[in-house]
Parts: sequence; structure tokens; C-alpha cells
Amino acid sequence: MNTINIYVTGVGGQGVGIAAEIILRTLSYAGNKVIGVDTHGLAQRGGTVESFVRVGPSVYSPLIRKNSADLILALERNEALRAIQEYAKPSSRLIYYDTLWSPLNVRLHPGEVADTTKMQISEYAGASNRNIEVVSLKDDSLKDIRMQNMILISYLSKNKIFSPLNVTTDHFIKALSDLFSSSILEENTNILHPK
Amino acid sequence: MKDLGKILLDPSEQEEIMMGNYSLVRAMIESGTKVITSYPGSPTPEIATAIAAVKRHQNPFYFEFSTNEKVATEVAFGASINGHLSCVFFKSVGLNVAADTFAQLAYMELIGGMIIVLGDDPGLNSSQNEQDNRHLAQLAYIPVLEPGNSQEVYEMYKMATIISQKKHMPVILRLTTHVCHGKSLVKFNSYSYRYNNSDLTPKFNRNNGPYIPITSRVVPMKLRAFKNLEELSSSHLVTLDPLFTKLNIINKTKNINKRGIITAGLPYYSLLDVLSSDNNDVHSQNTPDILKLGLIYPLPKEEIANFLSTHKEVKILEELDGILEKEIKEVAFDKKIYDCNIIGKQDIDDYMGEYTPEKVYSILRKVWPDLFTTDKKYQRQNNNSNESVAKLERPPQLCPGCGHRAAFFAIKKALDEQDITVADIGCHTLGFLPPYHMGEVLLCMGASPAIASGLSLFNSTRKVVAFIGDSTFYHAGIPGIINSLFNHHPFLLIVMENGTTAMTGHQNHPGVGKNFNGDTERIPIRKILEGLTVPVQEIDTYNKEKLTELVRSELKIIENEKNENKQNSLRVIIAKHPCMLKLTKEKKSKADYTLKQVSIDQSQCTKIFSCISEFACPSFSYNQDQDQDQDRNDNKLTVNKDLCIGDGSCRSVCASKAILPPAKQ
Ligand code: SF4
Ligand code: SF4
Repeated sequence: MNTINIYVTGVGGQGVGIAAEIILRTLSYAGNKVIGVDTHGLAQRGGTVESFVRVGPSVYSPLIRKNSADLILALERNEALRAIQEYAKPSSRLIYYDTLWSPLNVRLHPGEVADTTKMQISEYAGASNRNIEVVSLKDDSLKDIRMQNMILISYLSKNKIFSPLNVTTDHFIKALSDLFSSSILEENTNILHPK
Repeated sequence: MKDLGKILLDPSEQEEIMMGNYSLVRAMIESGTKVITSYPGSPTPEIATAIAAVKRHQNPFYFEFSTNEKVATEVAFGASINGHLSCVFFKSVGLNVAADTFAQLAYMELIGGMIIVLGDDPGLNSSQNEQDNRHLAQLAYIPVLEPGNSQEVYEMYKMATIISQKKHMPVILRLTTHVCHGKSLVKFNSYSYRYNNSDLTPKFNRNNGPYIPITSRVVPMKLRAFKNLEELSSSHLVTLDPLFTKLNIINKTKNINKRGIITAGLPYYSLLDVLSSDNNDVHSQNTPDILKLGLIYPLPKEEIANFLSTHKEVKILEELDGILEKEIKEVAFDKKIYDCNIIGKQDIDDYMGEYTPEKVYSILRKVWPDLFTTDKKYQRQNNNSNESVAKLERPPQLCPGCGHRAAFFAIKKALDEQDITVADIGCHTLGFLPPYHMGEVLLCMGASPAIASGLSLFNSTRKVVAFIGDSTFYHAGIPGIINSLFNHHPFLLIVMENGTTAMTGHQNHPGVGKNFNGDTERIPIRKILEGLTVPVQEIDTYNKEKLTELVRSELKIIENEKNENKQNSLRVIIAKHPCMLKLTKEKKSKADYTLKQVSIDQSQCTKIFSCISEFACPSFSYNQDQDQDQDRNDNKLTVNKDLCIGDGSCRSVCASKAILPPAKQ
């Protein structure tokens, strides 16, 4: 089996690390060899944060090389574009949560620097030398922004994105119960698997 | 929820995916480490997270966050010469702080054993320099083990304790950022160590020493450091414990051209990745043999000589400085191995940054272009680079509602363009970013008072203001403050007190009233300063107008005293506000929490945008309620619903009073 590289990104404070940890555990419960790493430290204060998850029998380094991610998950629109620019394979998939946290330069220099538009993402993804499938998600009814990452996770589960890696919903649920307890576990499981 | 503490304590054999910082703690428990100390610093603070998880169940060891790395090292040393196996851990530059103590450790008979865990930071993820601490290990004659993933962290810590306890010498376990944080499956052995029954009698005895390194008495002590190092040959180590058979790894391939690579740590795993069969651009018949070293100081000279003499070309693949390279070339010279071409660093780039798979790939291409079939990856990047969309940078910034933001906003108003502001380490360092530009020079922990002292010499025209965080004040700030009193250096010091060690994950410091283990007497910064007879004013940073006034009047006093030729010294303002990230998290965890946020009265907004251009809370941006693909010429100010925490500290910055009070949205 070939290596699958998953790149998860967003802004410090969005729960990128937790999303990656859920994926890592889910894939591992489905019997895959996985390794990964998250950003810690300074960048967690509102900077770009990234997590790597790598799956396959011959993965050794937790880091992903540029332009070699098969799947990119982004929790913010500007980061989504940056992520595919830096990490996407020419043929890959981007799933992002469509919220905007304007970087400092966008806020300080309106008219010169602007937030990424949906159009820019689809243009980049569909340029002639590549074919990146783009999925944009948003749920305005969420009562806590810390659940935005669960919207992406539940998309992965519902659309069986990991079924080639033998993943079922149960593996996701098992991963969630490793990481959360009581009401938070209940709420997150609910997003994944509405009763 | 899985219970990390239970997993780490469970004496049975098991497997778990975890980062190196966690697997390390299992090794600490298994080996019976009794005293552990630290000062928080990336990439190591998660070691304490795992220790805290264990502590909730049972207390197999004593742990403390000490006031700084030097103190932490001394506490661990004291415990070791009393017979307890001890460990101190901290970040790369922490070793500079500890160096004065660290340099004597190898001279001492450490009867309990002592491990120093270093978190080096190649790639500069969270540090002010990229120093290679292997240099300091050599300076202090302390052996270094270097693991490359969580499994090796676990095993090599145990090896380190075996060496340290058998030889009564200090041993370094050198981790790097992605070894600390990299997550992979770890297989834990079962263990039977009964931590409750270990012998706790204080065993210090001067006859174990000598412990007094003065004048000629140092000579035999230095000699023992050398002798200890000399004994660490691989053949000797395996007699200590069978675990040492795992110390070095040799990968043999069928390569036809007798090429080899000597490497260690994480670069080894980057290398395996680049050479893996999964990358079909590798010419497998050219794949070199690999010798991966576990003990990187002192080097296993026999194995290295063997490897060199059986290969025609050997590349030394090492991150940061060329330390292995120099030593390996020395081995070749001494053993008269002249027919092996040893390839070290080739350009400056090879000395910089982390050896990621990317970097290892480009290094190998420079050395052996015929190792790879095509240059696919590079072509692909070039294809992408002629596209017009510029990448948006996103540097870290102060959190929404952060008290430092209010402080910088207010302090800036009291200063002239030409005045000089000095930063220290902590969240407030981010004040150097636009729009504040507050704190424009930075060295290291606790340096700002003394840098400001230097800046105030021969300077009667430009006012000098230094910032320091509260944890940093206790850590290394006090000597600089005393010096400015002792030698009369006038400047304004602003203590940015947020009541925690925020940047590294909210650890307690001496001003909090709690240490790692429970309640303790608060040691207020104000009292320390008053004891030193420093004039101190205290103010909450949300009180912006008053803060501006206070900075102005304090600077005026300093100026007047100067003009009158009085012997004056520093004055201090404690600009305090609790860390809002910590506070909001605590509030959110309560059941009765309701989120309130400010909003903009668009009819009042006169589009002066001072909330962005001067205050710059990340919650304020333009047009976020519109589809971004629309025309953006008419900027409309919006509050980001994901970000605003509703503290209201922004309201007074709007002269048009368009920011409405926090309310449920
Ligand atoms: S962690 Fe606390 S002190 Fe640091 S930037 Fe955030 S709110 Fe400010
Ligand atoms: S109330 Fe909201 S917008 Fe105002 S400073 Fe606080 S977080 Fe920023």
C-alpha cells in the first residue's frame, strides 16, 4: 500500500491538534500504521498551526513533504488556500470549514491585501496542471466554535472518505471516546452520528 | 476519555500511540526516577502535562517547576548526591541559564544518577536561536544519547539511567522539537519497580566525593570525568545491560557503489522516508548503507572506523553544526583510513534548520545526483510558483481581549517616536508587531532591565522603557533590576503581569500562590520591589487612559531627576491584567457561561478604524458578513463571531463610540 499523507491546518485556537488526534486514532483503530505531529508553542497564539498525519507501512518521519498531501483539512479559508498551495498533490482533496479569521496584514492594509475568496480556491484547485477536489463546509447553528473541527470530522465519516483504509463510524466513535468525556463527548458524537 | 496517567503507571506490557514527551514519563517511572525538576519551555512543557496526569493517581516521584533552569538543575543535583535518581528537563536555550551549574556536574560523584533532558529546537519553532547543545555537552564532558522517535525516547531514557547510575555520572538525553511532539506507536515493557518501597535514606557523604572543586582539588575531579567518558565503548555498554544492543542501528543494502551514511536522531527517520520504496524516484541499487548512532558523544570509534573502512564514500548527515563530521574525520585520520571519501557539510544551508525529509532529499541530491531518477518534486513546485495568488502570512499575535494589547495601546500614546522600548521573553514579546511596535529589541529571559540600563547611558534625549513578564521577572529579571539600583541606571520598567506563565501553557509562578503541587505563599512582585526601595505603581491595563497618564508622569519624574543631576535609578509600573485566554477557558468550562460579544453600531461608525489601525484586536476585520467575492471598496467594520470574547476593552478606543457594549448575540 502507498503512503497516505493528511495535512490538517488552521489558526492557533481552532482545535487543529485535536482534529488530527481524532484522525490519527481513528485510522489506527482501523488497523493502519500511523504517525503524526502537531504544532506546539508560540504559533498557538493566533498563528498558522499545522498537524501531519501519515498512514502506511513505510512511514518514518512525522513530517510531510511539500506538494505531497493526499488529503488536506483546513479550518479556515485563508489557510485552506495556503495549504493547497504548499502541500497538495496535483491530484488530491481539500475539505475546509469556511470561516474567515483575517490575518494581521489583511486587517492593517485593506485595499492592498485581502482575504482569500472562494473563487481563488476553486481557480487554484482546478488549474490545468492539477485536479484538487474542493469541499467547503459551514454550520451557522454551531453553539461553540470549538466544534468546527467536528464538522470536518463528521464529513469524513459520513462520506466514508477513509473506507479504503477500512475505517468505519465505530472507529471514529472509539477515537472520540479516547479524547473526550461526559457532555462534550456526547455533543461531539452527536455531530458525527445524529440520533 | 483515556487516562494518560493510568496508562503510564500501568506496570503491564502495552502499546499506545503517543508523543515523545509522554513516553519519556513512562521511562521515568520504570527506571525509578525520584526527583524531577524543570522550567517550562517549548518543546518540553508537555512532559509536565504527562507528569500531572500521573500525579493524580499516585506519586511515584517528586516534581517541581523551579524558578529557572539553573535552579532546577541544582535541585536535581542535590537530590542525586543524596542518593536519588533525578532528572531535569528544559528547552535548548535553558541550558545557557543552567550552564554555570551544568559545567561542574561531570566532576561530581552523582551517587543517585542524574539525567538532563534537553529540548533542542532546530527549525526555530519557539526559540530565539538555533543553538546546537552538543557543543555544551562536550564542554562539560557529559555523554549524549539522541533518540529519533517516541519508542527511542522511552528506551534511551532507560539506557541513560543505567549509565548514570552505574557510573555515577550525568547523562544527557537530547531531544529535538519533532521528537518531543512526534506521535507514533510505543511498546512499553512490563515493569516491576516498586516506587513506594524504594530506599529514601539521605545518603550524602563527603567521602563519596570530593565535592569541592577548588584549585588543585579540581584535577582529580576532571580526570574522573574523562575516565568515565572513556569507558563508554559499545562493547562495555552491552555488558551493563542487554538494552544497549539496540543503541546503534545498521541498515545494510545491496548498493553496488559502496556508499554509506552516518546519522542520528530524527534525521535518520527523514532519511528512511526519502529512501523508502514508496518514493519511486529512488534508484534502489544506489541506496546507501546507514549507520545510525544512539550515543553521539562520546562516539563509538570502533564501529565508525569499521563503517568507514568498508565504504568508499560516507556522507555525514547531521542537523545543525558539523560536530559528528569533525570527530568522524578525526577517527579516519587516527585510524589511517585514507580510501574513504568522507562527505560533510557542503554549504551554509547545511548548517541551518531542521533536517526534514524535504531538506534531506535536497542534501542527498547535492551529494549523489544519481540516487534519484528524476527531479519530479522540484518540477512540480516550479509549476506552481508562476501563479499569481500571493500567500498570506499569519504570524502569532496577542489573543482577543489580551491585557497586553490594552497596555501597548496606552503606553504607545505616552511615548515619542524616538523613544526606545526593550522587550523580554513572553507573550508580550508580540508587541513588536504592527501596529504597536512596542519592545523593539530582544535578547533572552530577564535581559530587558539591564539592556535598558545600557541604553540609558550617555542618553539624555531618548526615553527608555523596558518590558518584562511576571514569570520572567522571577526567572532572571531580578539581578538586572538590582544592578540598576546599585549603579544608578534610570529608565522605566513595565512589568506585564498576567498572573501566569502564559506562552508555554499557563504554568504557575511564584506570584500565583500555587506551585505544581498545591497552594503556597504568594511572593508578590510589588513587595519584592518595595523591599528594594524601587518606586512602584500598579494599574490594571484595561484602564488605558490612566495607564497613559501614569507612564507620562513616571517618565517625567525620571527626566526631572536627570536634569537635576540626581543619582536616580529605575521606576516600575506593574501593568496587570489576568491572561484572558486562561480566564476565558476557565469561564467556558462553567455551566452558567454565556458568551457575550461587542457589536458595531454602523450608524455611528465614522470609518476612522482606530479599533483596527491602533488597537488591532483580531476580532475586528472588514466585511466579514458579506460574500467575500463581492466588491470590497466600501469597507464595513465587522466583529468576528468566532473570536470576540466580549471583555469590552476595545470600546474606549473608538472616538465615535460605535462599539456597542458586550451582549448576547
Ligand atoms: S495567552 Fe494570555 S497573555 Fe498570552 S497573548 Fe493570550 S491572553 Fe495574552
Ligand atoms: S470585546 Fe471583543 S472585539 Fe473588543 S477587545 Fe474584547 S475580544 Fe476584541
